[in-house]
Order: sequence, then C-alpha cells, then structure tokens
Amino acid sequence: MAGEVQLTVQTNRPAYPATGATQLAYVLIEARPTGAVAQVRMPLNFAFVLDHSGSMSGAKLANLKAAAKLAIDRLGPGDLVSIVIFDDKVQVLVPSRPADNPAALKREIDGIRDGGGTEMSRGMRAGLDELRKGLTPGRVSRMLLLTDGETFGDEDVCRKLAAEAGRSGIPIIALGLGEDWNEKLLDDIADASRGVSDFIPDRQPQAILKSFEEHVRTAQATAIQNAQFILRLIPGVLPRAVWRVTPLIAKLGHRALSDRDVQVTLGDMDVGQGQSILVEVLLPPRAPGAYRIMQAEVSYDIIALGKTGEKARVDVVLEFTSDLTRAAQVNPYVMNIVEKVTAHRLQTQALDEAAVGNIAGATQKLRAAATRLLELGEEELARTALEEARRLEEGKGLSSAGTKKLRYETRKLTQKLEESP
Amino acid sequence: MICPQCGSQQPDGAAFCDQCGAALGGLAPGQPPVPSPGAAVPPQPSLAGPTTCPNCGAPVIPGEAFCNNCGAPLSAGVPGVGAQVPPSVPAPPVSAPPPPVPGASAQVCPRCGAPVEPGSAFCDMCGAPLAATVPAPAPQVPFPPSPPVSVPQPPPPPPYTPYPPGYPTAGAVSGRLIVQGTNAVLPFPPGKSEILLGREDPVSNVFPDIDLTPHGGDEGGVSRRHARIFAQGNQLFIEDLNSTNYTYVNQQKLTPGQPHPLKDGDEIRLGKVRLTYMG
Repeated sequence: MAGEVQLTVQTNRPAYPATGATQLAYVLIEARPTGAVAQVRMPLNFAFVLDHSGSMSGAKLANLKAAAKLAIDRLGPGDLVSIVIFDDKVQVLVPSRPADNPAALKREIDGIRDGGGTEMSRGMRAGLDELRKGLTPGRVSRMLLLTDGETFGDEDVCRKLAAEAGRSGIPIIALGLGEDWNEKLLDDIADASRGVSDFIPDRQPQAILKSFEEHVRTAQATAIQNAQFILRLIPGVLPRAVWRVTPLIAKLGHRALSDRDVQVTLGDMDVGQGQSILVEVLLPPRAPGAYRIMQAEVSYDIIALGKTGEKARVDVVLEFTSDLTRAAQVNPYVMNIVEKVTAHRLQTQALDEAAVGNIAGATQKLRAAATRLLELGEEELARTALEEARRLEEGKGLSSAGTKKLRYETRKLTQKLEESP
Repeated sequence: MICPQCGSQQPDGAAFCDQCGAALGGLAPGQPPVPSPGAAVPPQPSLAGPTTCPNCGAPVIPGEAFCNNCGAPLSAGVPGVGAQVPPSVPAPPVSAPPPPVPGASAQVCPRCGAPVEPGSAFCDMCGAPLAATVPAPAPQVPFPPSPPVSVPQPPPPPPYTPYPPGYPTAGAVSGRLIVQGTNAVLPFPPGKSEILLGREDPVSNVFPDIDLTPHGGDEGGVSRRHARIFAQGNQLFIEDLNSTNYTYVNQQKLTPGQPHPLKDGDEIRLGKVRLTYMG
C-alpha cells in the first residue's frame, strides 16, 4: 500500500476574498517521505568524471583529490564506483567495480597528475560507459562531473551525452570549480539529465570537500524514484507557474495532459527532505464558501521495496470569504517561500536581461532582488546583487564570480527553512 | 444532486462539485459553512490586492505577492507593506446575486463594454488597447520610436527557458504561417527544432525566426519574444513566452509558459496579429 509519501497543502491565505475578479493564489504542496522509507538505502552506481587539465594544477588538484577520497570513504562494498579523468584525452582510472577496497581506490586518486586541455565530452562518454555496466533498477546511478574550465568545441556533444544519460536514468551532478567555466553548459547538462548543477568557489578547500560528500550522501538517501505530480484543476483555474522550492528552487516545466490535468515531473526524492512545489494559480471569481480547486496526486516508485506506481493524493480546498479581516490574513511560512522564489526569479530575469543587452531592466531587477534578499536576511547575496548592478551601470558588465554566486546561491535559499520556526 | 453554486449535476455523496469546486452538502470535513448574512459581497477586485504595482505601475494580478516587474511587495503580510484592508469596514450590503459577475466593476473594455481581466493590455473581445492598464502604443510619436529612448517602458523580455525539464524536444519543426488579411506566407526556416515568433530588435539582440514587424507586429502589440513553436514526438506545441499582450489559439488565451497543442488550420493570435498555421 501507499503511505511512503505524505502530502500536505498550505496556501498563502487562510481565506481568499470573494471578489468578482480573477485573483492569484499560492499553493505550497509538500511531499515528504514517511517513516516507512526512512531506512531504505539503495546501493549506488556512481561514476566520478574529473577534469585534470593543466588549469587544475596546484591547490585545485590537491583539493579535488582530497574531496574524491573523502567521497570514497562514504561508499560501501555494496556500491559500484568508477573513476574517469579527462583533459583533452580520457583515462578510465578505475573501471566500474565494487567499492570494497577504499585504500586501493585512494591510491589511484593520489596518482592523478595535471596536464592537457579540456575536452569534457570524452570524459562524459567514458563515464557513461562505466555507469552502463552497473545500470539496474535496483541501483541509484549518478555521474559526478567536475570541471574548472570551458570545454573546447564539443559543447553540443556534451549536451547530447547528457540527454542520453537522462534517458538511461543517470542524472549528472555537474559541478563547476572556480569562475572560468560555462554555467549555461553545466545547467543544460543538469537539465537534460535531470541532475543538478552547482558552483564550487575556488580557493576554499572546504567547499569542494563538502560538495562531494553532500552529493554522495544525497544519492545514498534516494529511495523514491520517478516521482511526478498530476494536478487536477477545476474549470477556470489556471496554473500560472510551478516552482520546485525544496531541495532547490527551480521553475518546473508543467505539461498540460488535458484541459484540466497538469503534469509536473519531480524525478528522484531523498528520504530526508522530500520535495515541495509552489503552484501559482489564477482563481476564478467565487461566492463565499469552500471550494476544492485542485486535487494533487503524486505517483512514485520505490524499487528497493519492489513498489512501482504508488500514489498519494490530497485535496486543495480554498475558502472564499466576505470577511475582510479574515481575507487580509496571510500564512507567513508560505509567504516566506514566495519571497525566496521571488528573489530567485528576479535575479534570473536580471541575468537574462543583461544577456540580451537590457541594462536598465537588469539593474532594476538586480536592485529589486537585493531588496528581497535583504528582507530575507541574506546580506551577502544582497551585496553581491548590488555590486553587479553597479558594475552594469558603470558599463563594466557582470562579473563571472558574482553571476555564478547569484545564480547558484539563490537556488538554495529554501535550504535554510529548517532554521525558521 | 444538483450543485447549489453552479447548477451542474453531481453524483450523490460527492464532497465537492467537480465543475466549480464548491463543497456539497456539508460533507467536506472541517470546512466552515457559507456565511449566510448577505450572501455574496459585491465584486471588489481591490480586496485581493491592487491591480497595478504601487511602485512601478506595472499591471499585477490581485493576490499577487510581489510585482512581476520590479519585485515590490504588493500584499499585506509582506514586510514593508501596510494593511491593504481598512480595519473596520462595515458588513457589505446585502442582496448581491450569489455568483459574482466577473468584471462587473470598472474592469470593462471602454470600446465594446466587454469584461476584461485585470492586467490585460488589449480587450479579449474587440482587441482594443486598454489604455488604463497599458500605455497606448505611442500614438503621439509620428515615427516608430527608436528603442533606447524613454518610450513608456515596454515590459522587459520574459525569462526564456528554451527546454524546460520534461520537454524532450524532437526533430525539426516544419510548416508556415499565413497572415490573415494580407495572406502573406511566412515559411518556417528549415531544420530548426524551435521557431521563435516575435519582433526583431537588434538593440536587444532579439532575432526571432518569424519576425512580425512587417506584418503589423509593432502596432499589434507583438512582444520581441512572443511565443515559440516546437515539436514533441509528432505533436506540435505553441507556448506563450510571457508576452505582454498574450497568445491565443482559436480564441483561447494561452497560459504563459504552458505549451498548447497546435494543429493544421489553427488560428494563432499574437496581441492583435492574426495568423493561420498550415503544416
């Protein structure tokens, strides 16, 4: 029976004013794994695909090796691991094998030397070949891809390989170290493979250690797979946008299955936090009363327990009221999430506008994002947004470091939710 | 049973009406009863929040928490915003008909009187520009305004997600668009997996695959990045890219960012420009 995932619904207001006009509502739907899956641990099929090109020399390479060794320590004998290193050539350092001899794996890692240019597709292809050897439904497959630079001339091949990985059920964790890599490419790789992309600041040895360990840990906590939402709306209710808000903020594509059914793909869920989505819906006018405007159903597989196509469902019931005091109340928890999504959206729009040359629009949105970030207590990110706005106004253009920081850090704004009451 | 709100036929025992969503027969657990005195309130769109942003004047949807254009907070409960609702408003007058009529307030088209959705830049029925919500397309300027100067600020291009997750794109898109009225034929450039419809603007570096500037795009309210057409499997889709004046397929307004199936002979309207798609 189902029951491995519990759905809860909160809305931005306890009651909506019964007006004669269309209005917007924010519906937060949280999908949380229950105790029934807390102990589920799937074996991994994990590939490290690491850039050891000339630009990695010195401290970068030393930190990379330390991070990879730390990640190896998290693996167990039931996991499969492979290690591929690339510059403009590729070497399969460790072909796919059980992670039962950490000392030997670490010796291989210690032997990595820097050299050559960067041709990432070679590394990706070899990594995929290794992962395919251990590809079974009972294992969680992941490729951890790390680069510090632009790849030369094979970007489209990288995108094709990422799409291939996605079709095979291998999400790619695309990590960029330092400031000189192409975030568009890494984002595309993550999107096409249903993985994630992230930015690791340079000259902070702890950052790469933490990142590697965190991504292995998340893969190990993956128990719920192929999760997707079906939102069944009543006529007249329109979804304006669907955002994933935890673990990372991202605008999710939603697909109309029919006039009234909308599908949102979530992918894998870990047993800890689960996933939450924020749905912005346009509400048609209603007289006072309670209305079920939507049913949300999540379907998922738990291969480790031999379950596929499990479902959980929840009603989204809104109250429309003529009581003005009641209609003026808001749910601060949902509003906090809406504000975080807004901060993320504003900086995304700002970067997009800067990219098409709309400097005025970009600076305005960066300043607006800074205001929201300040309200949220994110002073450092707010400073970065203001600094980038100033650079644009002075005609200097956006800085690579500031852009990457804004792009990747504002995705993580909801990760601090646990600290707020 | 019959739904008391919308009058549709519902199976006995249903907790909610599947047409209008109303709670039926008090079966919904924990739902407060409909307040009886006075039934419905008269339509008051401002209750849910402003329809224009107090900071930048951009149109916003009532209930929206933050302005889509400038990010300013719009509703009560957000830091920095005073309560929008006066604290001691007396109970509203009685005897308004139960289902409030949409747009019975000032939100009507000044030309044809049809109700319009707050924030619309053009009337859905007659296509007239709604001057109250959007600056009219520069009627005083004798020549087309050059983009960088201070024309009433056109809304910025929407964030553009070429391939949202869950949309595996497929092969090349083929077909053509026929401009209604002039019957000009606009073939899709060959070999492209996605066709961008819009208005060319070299200043913003926007070069759509189908440029509607020569076909009334400017005065017809076509955005620079207005909509895109792409294929998924054998099915073509059209998606509004958060355009200012919306995209319609067969008179149906598309939700921005949500792809809509497109088939041979469909009428596409971008702002006021009408096109027919031919495969």
